[in-house]
Amino acid sequence: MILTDAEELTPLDDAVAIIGGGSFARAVGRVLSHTPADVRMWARRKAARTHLKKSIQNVTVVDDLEEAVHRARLVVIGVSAAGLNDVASQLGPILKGDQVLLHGVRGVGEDFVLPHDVICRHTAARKIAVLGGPLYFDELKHGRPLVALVASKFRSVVDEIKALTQGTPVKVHGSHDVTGVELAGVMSNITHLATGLSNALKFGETARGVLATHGLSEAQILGVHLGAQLSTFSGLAGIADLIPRPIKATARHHHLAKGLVDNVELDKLLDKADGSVEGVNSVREAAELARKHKLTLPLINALDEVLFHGRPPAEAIEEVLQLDLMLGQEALRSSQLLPSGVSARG
Amino acid sequence: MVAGMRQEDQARILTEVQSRILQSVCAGADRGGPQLDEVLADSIFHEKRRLKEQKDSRSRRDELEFYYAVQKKMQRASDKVHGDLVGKIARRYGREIAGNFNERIYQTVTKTGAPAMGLLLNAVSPKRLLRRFPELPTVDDAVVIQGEIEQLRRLHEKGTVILVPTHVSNLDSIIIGFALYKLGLPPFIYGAGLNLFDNPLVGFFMHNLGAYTVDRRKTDPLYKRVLKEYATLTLEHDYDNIFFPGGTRSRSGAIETRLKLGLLGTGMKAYINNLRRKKPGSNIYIVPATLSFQLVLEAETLIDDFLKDVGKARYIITDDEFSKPTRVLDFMQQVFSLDSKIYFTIGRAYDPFGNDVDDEGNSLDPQGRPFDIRYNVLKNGEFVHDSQRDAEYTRHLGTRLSEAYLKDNVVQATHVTAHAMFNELRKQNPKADLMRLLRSGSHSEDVDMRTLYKEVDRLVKELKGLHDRGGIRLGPVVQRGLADEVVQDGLQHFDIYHAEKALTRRGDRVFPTDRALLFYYSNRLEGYRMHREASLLPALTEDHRALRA
Repeated sequence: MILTDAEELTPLDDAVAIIGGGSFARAVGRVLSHTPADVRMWARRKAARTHLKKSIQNVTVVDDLEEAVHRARLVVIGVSAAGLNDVASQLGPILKGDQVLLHGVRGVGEDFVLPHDVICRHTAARKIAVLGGPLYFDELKHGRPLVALVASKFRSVVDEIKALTQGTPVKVHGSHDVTGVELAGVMSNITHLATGLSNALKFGETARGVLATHGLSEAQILGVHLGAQLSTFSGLAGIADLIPRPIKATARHHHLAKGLVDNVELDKLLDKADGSVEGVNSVREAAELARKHKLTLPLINALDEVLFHGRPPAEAIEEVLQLDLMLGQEALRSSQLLPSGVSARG
Repeated sequence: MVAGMRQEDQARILTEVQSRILQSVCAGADRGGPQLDEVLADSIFHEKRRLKEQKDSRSRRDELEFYYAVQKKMQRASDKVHGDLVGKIARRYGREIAGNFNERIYQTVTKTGAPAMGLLLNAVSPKRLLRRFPELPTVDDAVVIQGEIEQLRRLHEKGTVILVPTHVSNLDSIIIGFALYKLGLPPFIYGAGLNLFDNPLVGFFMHNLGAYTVDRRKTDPLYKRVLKEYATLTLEHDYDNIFFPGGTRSRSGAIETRLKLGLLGTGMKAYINNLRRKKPGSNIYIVPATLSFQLVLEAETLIDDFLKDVGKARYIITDDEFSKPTRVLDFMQQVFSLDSKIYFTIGRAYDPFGNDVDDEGNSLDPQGRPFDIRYNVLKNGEFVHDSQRDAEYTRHLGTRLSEAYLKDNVVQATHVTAHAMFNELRKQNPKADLMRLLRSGSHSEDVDMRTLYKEVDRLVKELKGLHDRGGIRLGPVVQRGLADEVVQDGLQHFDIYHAEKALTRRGDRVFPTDRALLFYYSNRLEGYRMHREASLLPALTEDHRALRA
């Protein structure tokens, strides 16, 4: 007997599940707690769940992942890249094909696997969306609207998330470039490591701008390599996200960079960090990817040397600052990523 | 009527095609798409233009009259009349696609059940030809059927199968027909180009063994809609189909990577329609298949077409090797004389979303767990079509199929020998671009045998590694892996069939006597990133439809 002939279909609940207990998950929980949908939150650690219960009103914190996710219209994944594998593999047997998955992961897995690919390795879910853009959750405290970019290959998924956030102070923009938006998020953290070093070294505002531009250029190279759309990087998820932000993730990256300049060991810095510093692992994986595919990524290489090969930050950043800035086509050509477009007749 | 199709199904399908097309045209008009009269005007425009150019068509006058009449009737007419006219055109297209069925011949064919190739020869049967070839080629020995045979058999029982083979030669459909017959499966139906129906060799089969007509010269969008709807409906009525998702025979010789998603998408349409009307056995299974020839009948014409007009395949070649019966028989006679094998490899099945399928017909998630795919098309408790969503699902399916083709491709001696030789030519002429190299304007011409052996040896090692990781299949000679044996087998094949050999050996040197052919056979290894170790870039663009400069 074929499974699909036998089983009864169960309808969706008007509910949103939020997975994770960090600042991102909590912020999303607060926003969505004002919508008509039931909000069910779950975090792996018991302490985190207790904290959720205390800190957010109008949501249900449950002890079991399946209880949170089962038939929820939307499932928000608010964990770090390191925790994504585990969550995705638990979600595999629970999710059904009409549920929408939204994640805000800004890091990569081993071999530079982007978050949506991690999810696709563990689950049959296709209706996957990524949340990008500036996401200044602090704006909400001041009664100002929050701007977010939601990318999904399915137009109906973006529409559904727009509908769900109706009546909240969040203005959702749509994109179909999942790879681009994920990559922009990853590169934003990487770039904040670089600007953090520059700040700690007191290299000044100009240096910070130059480094951010390098970050953007390398995002484009990786983007073309992985099949993203270049225009994504000049949009909400790209440039708008490179502006230094008074949010925790940025602060964590800057803090870690400061520690490196002060000669503190990386392991100690990571242990002490208040939450995950996604940029560190992303640098290692991006540098490895660049080596494998002969991509020219000087900023990422410099960070890789500082983080994992003991190169003095001042020397490495100085070197990057001396480089010619290659943006757009020139940068792509140097990594042999531009199709020549010459026909056989040519 | 299409073979294997019950008369009453055929009638019902044609009626349904008409009503669905009319419905979807009206729905499109309501959504602000082309209005009924615009659709009609489009049909008239495209058809008149086609008929103007196609002076050889027997039905030209009839058809022109029909469209003039439509044009006259549509003027200042009501929406109702316009709708009737759209339905009329759709019905006309539908009938033409379904073709004519000769009950008597069909009966003979199915009863005697002789292998297709023998039949083919009998059908041609000018005694002169038979006298020339006293021993009929035995296809039985020449075609190796391998791969997921058992799964195909089982899925054929559980739901409806779409077989999606790579497309190399016009012999493909005959060989596939033969293979399905050998497997004890009923004929699958498929769309064949109109020009093939006039072919003296296979026209017979086209009419009677499961083919419906596709007229690629018809550019009317309505015709394409009718064609897709027809395919969808046959699937819904449980008829297994064959689609060639590459759309046309590979011009470059490389495995197709850019697949026609429109036709593939009919699988999804049929699946959702099945769910909506609660049809038992609603599942549609998409089964990739690859064909591998040491020599390709139409190689010269195909690569010539590729080089003439890179990227814009001519689509309709009516005067190729396939249209000359003696050439086809020569080809078979010679190929079979070398104990050459044609590999027909059946791949693992996918569902319309591109998920793996187990032998029971259940879809599997990436971790191999059976799961219920119906939720993928469920919205507010109902199964619905959503063109953007469904196109995305189909795109994913297309990606999976492209991967399967690379994995199931059987590499044979001609491919490896040609690829090695072409690599050497490129290495010896680092400054010549590919086009110049192909036009034999290179500085260095020939390669000594030892160099060729060395490159073949390197390729074979790389291929074996790929094979061990499940990335490709190897023919027996390549599998044994002795460079001199591979080259010998390759040269022997190049020797026997093509007018100008791809490669010629003189003493201890090898000459690229037909570079275009060499390139054609070499391209069978495109897409495997085999070029890296030779520090060469791939010769073709990623879609395998143009040269990389």
